Amino acid sequence: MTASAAEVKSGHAPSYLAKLGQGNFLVNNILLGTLLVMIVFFSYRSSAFLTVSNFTVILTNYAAIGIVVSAMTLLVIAGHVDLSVGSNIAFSGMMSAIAITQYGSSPGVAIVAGLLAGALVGALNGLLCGIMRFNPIIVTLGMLSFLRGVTLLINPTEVYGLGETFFFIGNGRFLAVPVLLWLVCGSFALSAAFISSTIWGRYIYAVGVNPQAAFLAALPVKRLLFGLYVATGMAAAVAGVLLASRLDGVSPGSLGLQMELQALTIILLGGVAFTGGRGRILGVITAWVFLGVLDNGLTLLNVPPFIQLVASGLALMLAASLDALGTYMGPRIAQRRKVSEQLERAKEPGKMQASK
Amino acid sequence: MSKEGAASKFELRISRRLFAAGGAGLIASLGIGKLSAANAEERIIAISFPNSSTIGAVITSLEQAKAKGKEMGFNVIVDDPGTDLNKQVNTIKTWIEQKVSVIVCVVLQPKVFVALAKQAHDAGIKWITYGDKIENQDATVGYAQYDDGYRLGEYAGKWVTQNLDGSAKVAILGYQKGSWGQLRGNGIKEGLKSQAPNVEIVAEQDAINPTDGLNVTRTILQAHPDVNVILGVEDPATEGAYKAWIASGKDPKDPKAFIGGMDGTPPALKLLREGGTVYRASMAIPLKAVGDAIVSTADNLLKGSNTGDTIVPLALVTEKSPDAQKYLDEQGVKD
Repeated sequence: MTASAAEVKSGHAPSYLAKLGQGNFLVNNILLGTLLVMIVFFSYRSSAFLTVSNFTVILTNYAAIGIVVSAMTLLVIAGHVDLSVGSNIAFSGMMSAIAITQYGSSPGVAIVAGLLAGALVGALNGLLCGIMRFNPIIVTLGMLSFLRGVTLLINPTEVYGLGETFFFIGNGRFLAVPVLLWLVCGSFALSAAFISSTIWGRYIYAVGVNPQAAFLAALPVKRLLFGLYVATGMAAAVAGVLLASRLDGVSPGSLGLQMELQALTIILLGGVAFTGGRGRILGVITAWVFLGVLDNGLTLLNVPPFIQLVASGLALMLAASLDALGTYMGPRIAQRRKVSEQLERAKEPGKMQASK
Repeated sequence: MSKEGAASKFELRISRRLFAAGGAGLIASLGIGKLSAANAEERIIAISFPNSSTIGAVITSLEQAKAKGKEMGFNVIVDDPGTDLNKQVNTIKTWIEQKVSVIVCVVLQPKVFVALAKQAHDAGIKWITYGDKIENQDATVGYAQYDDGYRLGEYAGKWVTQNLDGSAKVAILGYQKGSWGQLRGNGIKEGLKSQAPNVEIVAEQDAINPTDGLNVTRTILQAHPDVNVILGVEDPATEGAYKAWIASGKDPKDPKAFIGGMDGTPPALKLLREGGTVYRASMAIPLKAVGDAIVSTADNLLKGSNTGDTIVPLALVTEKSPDAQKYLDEQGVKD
């Protein structure tokens, strides 16, 4: 008996191991497979790759973008996007930095100032895109440019010397694990729990699939979108504070530059549909690690920058193609399995009656 | 649909229209203001400088150019097209139509600008190329990128010979995507090898901002924990490398390690002023001199004098050198 047939008969979901045995598990997780192949390749080519300290470096290098991605994924699943996160990172980081260096605030107040600044930007995006229904791409692209300009107007040069608390956040450890890792793991866990275990998580998918139908079904579409924009703005602010902590300062022109594209790449590579309604946090985490490993591996092997551009472009295209192939083949394999099961049952009418 | 629903939808439409109309009105009024300013009879020096708004040192130079220009009766305007070459060309064509007095241009791809420089010439506009040379230009203002890189490499090489018996593991943080980065990087490597031929360059990666410098150096230190010399074409990247050095658990005062960069940004100059850390050198740009040179070269060209090239050499600032404070003062940095 196949795992699916057992599932039909018992009425229970198949176990993880049973899923692993099915072809469609691999088809649905091609990116994960590609990541494993890449890890094997880099481990073979560089003895420094497969070590705990190197994986700590990979994850801490990518912690800030991970936090942005964990919140922005929910927004994209809801059919919206925030392209202003890169500049929001610089803006919020700058707010925290000048709160300390120019106004002599305590680190706690400075961090809150940064977070509030990011949340305010998110609220403005949410008002325009979620409530007034302006085009999110145009509005947030405008906000991207506006915020970078405002940040440079506030302070056109580097601000640095943020003190011990910020240094601890960027470089310290809590229970032997880097603070950055705690934060990024917590952020992903929060997103995953929210989308899979709360009623609002189900609303996100509903709004992403069809916002009109969700509205007619009396779902709180505007409140949901507004909340998601605020959460994304807040996540960008956390990323800004983390980057400022790592660097002990903020460079207004370069902090967070083009991170909105990096975030979107991770989200789309992770299998989230740009049109909304489809996506998993696990897929996005895989894509996040995938890009971190690729970047780290190419640097470890000292691949020249031009070849690195070609290699990372090719790897991304390959992964995206394989993932698209999985998305295409997955439902078809499942459909064929269903048909063969129905045929099998049709051949055995006695068993069908007995089971009834 | 209920009456209340229809009313709220109507209000939403009205508010959106009001918002859009208000925004359009604001933009239009700003545009008209700018247009009328451009039409005024004035001598304009138009500077096209990709990424100028994102590099602190460049901002200081251009602010000085604006101040100097004001003193000499010029209106200095600056455009930052980012990395968008098409946007840069479009802006320069607008300036040619506008008949500004002088165009100063950073040319990331020199050949693209040869025809534009000719168009500017034909329209009676003087053309200054910043940090490079192209056909049809009137003058160059800028640095000798290769020579300045060479001097940093040479200094690092001498330090390696004196302190590490001539052998070291070296990482280079360069920028292959820009010709200036290639020139600086090649200069650094050749200057280094000229004084310490036995050094081993174990890694060469692109990094020009603090985040890239930090991330790339942390990875390099994983592959080569024995790297003891890090040289970069931009101080912001080597500042990131210094943070990576500390984050990797290495001694920031290690007497057997050397980090050096270029441009003389405030954090780098402060480290050099204090001394005693692995951050041991920076090629500082005399930022105000560069700003002044842009305006004085433009003025000379308009007066009809053949200025030739104005090359501003970078200054080598080392540990505890009084020059560190001098260049910090120049950038208006207060403790």
